Amino acid sequence: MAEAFSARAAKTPMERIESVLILSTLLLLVVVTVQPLLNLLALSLSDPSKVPGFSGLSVIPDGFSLDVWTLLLQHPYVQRGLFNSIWMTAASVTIGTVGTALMAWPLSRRELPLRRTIFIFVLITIVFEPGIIPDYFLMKQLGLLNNQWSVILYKAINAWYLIILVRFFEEIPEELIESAQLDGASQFRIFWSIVLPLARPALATIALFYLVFHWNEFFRSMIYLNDQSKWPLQVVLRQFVIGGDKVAIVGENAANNNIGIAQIDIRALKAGMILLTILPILAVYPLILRYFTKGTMVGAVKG
Amino acid sequence: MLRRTLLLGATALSLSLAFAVPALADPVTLRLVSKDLLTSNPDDVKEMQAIEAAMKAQGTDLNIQIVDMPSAGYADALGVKLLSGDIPDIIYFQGGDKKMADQGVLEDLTPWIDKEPNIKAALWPHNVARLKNYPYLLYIYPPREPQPVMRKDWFDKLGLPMPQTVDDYEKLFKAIHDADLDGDGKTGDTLGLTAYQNTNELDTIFDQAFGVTGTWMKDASGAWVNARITDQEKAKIAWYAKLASEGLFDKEFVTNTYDVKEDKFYTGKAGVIFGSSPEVIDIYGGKMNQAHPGENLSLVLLPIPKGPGGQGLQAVDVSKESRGFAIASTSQHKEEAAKLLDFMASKAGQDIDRMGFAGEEYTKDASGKVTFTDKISTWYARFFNAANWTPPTPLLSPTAQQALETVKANFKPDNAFVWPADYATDVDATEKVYRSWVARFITGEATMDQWPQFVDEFNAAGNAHMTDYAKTVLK
Amino acid sequence: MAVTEITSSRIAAASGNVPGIRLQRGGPARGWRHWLPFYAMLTPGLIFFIIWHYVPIWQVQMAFETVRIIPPNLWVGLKNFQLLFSSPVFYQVILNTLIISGMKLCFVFPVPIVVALLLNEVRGSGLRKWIQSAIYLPHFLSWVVIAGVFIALLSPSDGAVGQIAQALGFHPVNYMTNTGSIRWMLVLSENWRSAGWDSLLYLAAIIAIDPALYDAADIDGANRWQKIRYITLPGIAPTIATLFILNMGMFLSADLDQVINFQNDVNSSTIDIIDTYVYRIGLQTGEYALATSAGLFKAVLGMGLVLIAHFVAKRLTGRGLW
Repeated sequence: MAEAFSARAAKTPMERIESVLILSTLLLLVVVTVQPLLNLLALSLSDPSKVPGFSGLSVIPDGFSLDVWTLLLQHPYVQRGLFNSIWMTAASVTIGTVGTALMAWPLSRRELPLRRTIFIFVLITIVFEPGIIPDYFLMKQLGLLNNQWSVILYKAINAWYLIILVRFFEEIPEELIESAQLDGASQFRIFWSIVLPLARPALATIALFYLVFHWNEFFRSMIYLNDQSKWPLQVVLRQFVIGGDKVAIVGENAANNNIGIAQIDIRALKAGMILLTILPILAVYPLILRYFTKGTMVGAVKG
Repeated sequence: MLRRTLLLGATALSLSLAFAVPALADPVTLRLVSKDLLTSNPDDVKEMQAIEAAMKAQGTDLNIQIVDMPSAGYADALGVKLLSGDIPDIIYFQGGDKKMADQGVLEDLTPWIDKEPNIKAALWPHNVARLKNYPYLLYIYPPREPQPVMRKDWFDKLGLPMPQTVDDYEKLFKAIHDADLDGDGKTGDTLGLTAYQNTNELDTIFDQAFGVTGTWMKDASGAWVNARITDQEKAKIAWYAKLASEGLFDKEFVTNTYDVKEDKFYTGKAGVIFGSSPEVIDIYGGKMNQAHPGENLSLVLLPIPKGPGGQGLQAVDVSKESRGFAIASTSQHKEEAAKLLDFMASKAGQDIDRMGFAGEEYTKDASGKVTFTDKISTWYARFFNAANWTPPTPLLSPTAQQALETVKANFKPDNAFVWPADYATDVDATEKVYRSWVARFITGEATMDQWPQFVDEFNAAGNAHMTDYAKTVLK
Repeated sequence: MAVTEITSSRIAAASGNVPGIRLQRGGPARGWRHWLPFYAMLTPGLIFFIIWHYVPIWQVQMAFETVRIIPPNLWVGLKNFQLLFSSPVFYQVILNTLIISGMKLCFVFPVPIVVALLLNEVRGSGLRKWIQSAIYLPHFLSWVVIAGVFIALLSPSDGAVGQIAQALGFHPVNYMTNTGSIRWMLVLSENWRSAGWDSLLYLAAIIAIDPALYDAADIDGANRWQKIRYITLPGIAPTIATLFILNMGMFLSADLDQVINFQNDVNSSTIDIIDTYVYRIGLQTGEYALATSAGLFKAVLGMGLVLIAHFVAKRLTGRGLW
């Protein structure tokens, strides 16, 4: 599809130069954004004695050591944290996307009674954050303390994303809705069979935003969840890295001799942990991009 | 509210029932919350069990229940927990205690300390003073006074005597700067000294040397003035600025995080750094060796210099403990809680808390000689570091031990006090003015003859208001 | 209807400036029965908002009280607000916040749009996806890490930038401490972190534009820039407007996380924002209520800004937030 619309007569020299310029700018952007992560990767793979003084520009490991990654990937706390993160994020994203879509569709109908009121109602939640204390009390009252659902439901529906989705839904051509209504379809059916398929890029975008938001969330998890077995990956890592609690991660036996694994430099360990939290997103992102195909609405009106 | 009353009533009822039941010695459950104390850490659990066993032998039957709390964001999580009404018996605070004390949530520890046998003897001098001013937190530890260390082999190579005066220090820094100690063939690329964020570390040994005796000093007419704007302070800052202008002190100290500062030390970019406590000095030693495998390096402690204003370690703030253990005034088991804290200050308690377990952190041979294993390097005291306890075999390296002795020998109380809440904005504003000007003096952005400008700004930012209050407190 | 007629009416309709041409909506005003299913769809979300946002907001009465652990709460009226406003530093702090947010609005807000437009021009979708998959990565780094990177890079003595400057004959400046440059560092680092990620949203909006419009433009012989100006930009104008308005709501926030990591003794007074100031004072006094007071203050002003932006946008483009 994308190729179809762009295939046309030979480019002028000016256009060729423009293309080159555009591409160079973007490639420069790529280099500038990717380099620090490659640096972290190199750091996490370097020999422990070479870690102090490791340059921030280098992208090649100094020496080679798999200690950091072996430690991280084999550690039961980390594995459990990963599992928790995946399941809690998945739940949040599902609830969020469904709930947001359900709210966005009615709000996109311009003649909805009380539309403006609902918008303001929702807007207030963007500008005002009650803070950790009232939220904690709420969880207590709901009996959700130390329950993973407290984290899953926290900001499950986000007003910011809601308003963005409303914008996307508004772009859906009226004719489709009209004709479906004339055919006697119920509103739910219209929503399910027409709106949702057409809004795939938008839904994918919102889902991704929710994914990233919940995946990175750690502060609330820390406060609401006492039980370490319930902690998501981010909290586990912060507990054992920011706290400098190398022992807990390294384990008693290794700490015993201060050789091998225990010699892991905390800086390299931090680098590894940062990358570990990014990797799942890296895996999911290309899948989301698949929904970014042009012309999803082309056939609908003409056909 | 109704629910709370019901809950309170139910608790009271069940408690009275518990007392009514003839004492078949149900152990008393003490709920304890502390940073880095978790039910998932087997060492923590083991230590609690050992404490319970030892105390039971002494006649107190306890069940110590650890309340889990994340260590990152500890203050926030603790604050929220307390506010919601869930108050453990023994609480470790690292900030946020004043609010609780003001509302009467924390128990006044003075009568308990008087009653119990061991705590008094274990206290460090500054602990005594702090408890007198603010009797809610107990934190038996030597005061944190950073002291300077450098690589012994570098020091020997320079061939200079131990620096005894401020000028000697300048000579030492210059020698480090001019020599090619890191062996890369270039001279002049090594800093004498580095620090992180601000000059606090340096002040530890240079304050007294320049005559800055405390937070408040008396001027010529005998009136109290804020030490920040005295001539002695000016002389000290001028000296720092001189060092920086000659490349002897790291001009980028302001943007250094402590990782970066340590990094500069290990990679040989700076010769001298400050270690904030004897344990930290040992950690630096270990990391230095990790960064230079096979060279078997050690660190040497540099002494407190004499200067135009005197000599000594910076005065220690005794207005209150900044962190420590408190007993909740709402606790039903205050007596047991006090006994637990007392036990941890006693020899038996310290033996467990500081040495760990026989066969793991140390071995004891037939003659009773104790040798520490490598595991001891990852063991840490969960409670106290008593002043009257010494390990059977040294736990610290000689250098670190020397640092500890220096701290012990040079204690001097400061005259700082706790500010009421209305002064919070003044304190913040004046401190910002001070820090900002010091940084600019040192980096050379401002020259020392702009000092009067700094003084004016400092006074205008709230110091006048603060000094008036200080005069009423300090008399 | 001819293709060109469809094109022009579509463009007009999409951009919201529609004098004369109006899409016909169904006949008489709808009764409540028509709206019932819609309200059914809204209900779960509304309940969620009420429970998870409005109940805590109600409990914000704490802002007006001194918090006590052992009840009852004391009513101390506006004492908390007074403490905030009593310091002359506070006005500097508000000024800083406004300046930094303003700079971000001018120099950070447009960048993802530009990136999305550039990305849209890339021919192969494979290459485009590859680039997209790279540029969003810094978004996942925490500000602690990013500040560390910037400090190291900009160190006058051994940072890369400093060394390049020396090689070129310039005297290296410490950009992280210099009061003139530190705000620009905030802008630069914000761009670096978020431009790639935020461009995703705009790209999604660009994709939603009917390709028929581009085809028609091709037939009419439009070049790249004309297409951007007459099709793409108007097509995503509602999205841009929406995000602009939403950002106005956050105008007084200016990102606490970022500023705290970039602050040091020298630059502090230049980039101290409301949130960092309240955080520091709150630490000293232990006042949770203080932070809530500040939050209320920001919220009221933020809401005001949103409404203003909304009406301005509506006046200018015919479309606001609703």
